[in-house]
Amino acid sequence: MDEALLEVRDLVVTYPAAAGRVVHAVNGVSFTVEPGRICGIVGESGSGKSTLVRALIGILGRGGQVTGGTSTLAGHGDLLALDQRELRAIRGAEIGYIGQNPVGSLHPIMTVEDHFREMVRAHGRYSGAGALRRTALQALADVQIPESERVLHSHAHELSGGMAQRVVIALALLLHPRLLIADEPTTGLDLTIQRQILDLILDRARSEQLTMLLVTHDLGAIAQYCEQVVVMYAGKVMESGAVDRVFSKPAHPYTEALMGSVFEGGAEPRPLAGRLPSLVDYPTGCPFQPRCPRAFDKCAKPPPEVAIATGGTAACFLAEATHAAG
Amino acid sequence: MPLVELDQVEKTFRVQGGHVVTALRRVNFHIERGETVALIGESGSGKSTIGKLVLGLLRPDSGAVRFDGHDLSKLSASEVRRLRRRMQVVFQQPYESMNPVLTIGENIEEPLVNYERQLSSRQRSNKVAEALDHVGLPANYADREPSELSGGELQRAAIARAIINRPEMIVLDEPTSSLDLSVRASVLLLLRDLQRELQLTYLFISHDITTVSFVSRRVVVLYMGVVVEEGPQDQVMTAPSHPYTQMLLGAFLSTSPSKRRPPMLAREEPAPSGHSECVFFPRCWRAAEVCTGRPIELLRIGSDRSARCARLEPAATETGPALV
Repeated sequence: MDEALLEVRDLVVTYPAAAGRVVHAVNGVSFTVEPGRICGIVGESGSGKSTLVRALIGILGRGGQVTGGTSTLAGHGDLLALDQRELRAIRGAEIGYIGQNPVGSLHPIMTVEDHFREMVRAHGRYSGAGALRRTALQALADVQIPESERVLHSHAHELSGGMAQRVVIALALLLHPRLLIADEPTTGLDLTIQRQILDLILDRARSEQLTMLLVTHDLGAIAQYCEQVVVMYAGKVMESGAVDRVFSKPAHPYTEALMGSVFEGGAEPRPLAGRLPSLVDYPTGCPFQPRCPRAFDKCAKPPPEVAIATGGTAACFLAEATHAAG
Repeated sequence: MPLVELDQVEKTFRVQGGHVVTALRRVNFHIERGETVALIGESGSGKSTIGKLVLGLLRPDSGAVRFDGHDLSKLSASEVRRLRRRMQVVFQQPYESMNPVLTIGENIEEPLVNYERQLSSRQRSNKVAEALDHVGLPANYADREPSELSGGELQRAAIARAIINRPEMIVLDEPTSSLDLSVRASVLLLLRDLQRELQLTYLFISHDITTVSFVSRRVVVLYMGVVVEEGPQDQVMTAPSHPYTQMLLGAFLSTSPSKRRPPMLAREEPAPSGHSECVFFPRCWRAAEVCTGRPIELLRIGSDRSARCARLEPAATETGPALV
């Protein structure tokens, strides 16, 4: 096994809530990604999947705080121990980030060319106006933007959502980062554009041998683009492993329930009753227990992280009995 | 007679700067009683505009929108109001569609307050309890506030409001798009059960092809205000005719890792020059000379199917291909 490019251990993130209480958004998340692997992070709203990746690059916002854990990027040590200045040097250069709202993530009064200039200068890579232009035009062409000259002089509001996201992708890849994080990169885009954007990001990630985290609620995107997957619920990892294994033989009842909610192929979906537990009064046992069709008395206690015989992990007492390795 | 009929409907909007934007061009389709017709389209396709026209909230520039044979634009305001009590709507964002200062019960009884003024408050609460039961929510939810409910529960409450005065038709405008996957299934199953139980007619507006194939019998595919394809759901989904429908379905990502995604349909030859009447021409992967300089008609391609494409090879039918 190669050395992990990214190793997240016991990550805990909280947000302030009313009356001095806290929202337990991420609750002890661990996973590793080897170099060149595409890892999907899938979950529904409230699963903590976006908070998780935002914590890794220090852009939590809303008073979010990392209160425990480590996140090791090979060659850089624990990212969570870095100050903002050190993190800024890593963001963009070592870690590229593609967010949910492309038009909003571009500065409204800066042109696309200004964004390229900023990205280059912020990382101390000075280049003349002519060289910068050529680099930017090539980067735009590489994300299949026609009329790259016109786009270079545009502002965010003059671009369609799909076009703005292509610009964001070009910027994220400009300095050849080793890790690319895409957080729901196609939210709000039309289906045909979504597919083009995902194809583009993943083709680039593969051709440049990037390690990638793809955060999504779309099981189809995980199945079609990722090699490994981390399934999250209520801020915890329910299951992880190779996509083929997790999708064909889920070891956690939550993964099973998610797969059962899919409408594909005319099968009758099996809906899941109930709702996400409170993230303020966080349950002591398995957070999925109240909705789990297979819960039993043990589930009131925190579930073990079980190593699955066919690879990966599942946080479930049942998996211990039926799927455990060894 | 169909319950809902759109006949050559044209609709434009005047936007900032005095420009006129065409939202719908010569739209024709109908919905039979008790069936579900799905309108599929991406943003800007005009699908929500059609929903508003059917509800009588907008008037077409030309053409007719008929409900149970009545042309909505020829009726007086009070006559439209009388028809509108026979239809309801469920929107995409359940929280925004609820009045946040009213309880769930007060929100749900709103159609009764509007249209059934003879009812006493006790009769109204009984009907609220019955509607909550229909959508699988506990009776005590009537006293809760919208902010106390989850997204899925709120959408159930919105459905309770839509069925409380026993309408004949419900416009479902992306009713599950904002819901999580695990909740989406239960809301769609509920809608399907209610349709059978209450003999409802649905206009199901969506951009999500998987939910469309689950709920609907017929689909109408819209692109930039034009119906590009129409037909039985199973036929359109398995063998789409229009290059746009083909591209849309081809963009779908299967959740089965063993089913490899097909490459996106893309043009292999340079686009022909010239002007085309076809709205999809600039993005079309099959665009050719034949698409330019001639009217693009809706072509009947089967007993119950049609598509608007100059490159279409019409299916051999008894009567042969016919322009409709």
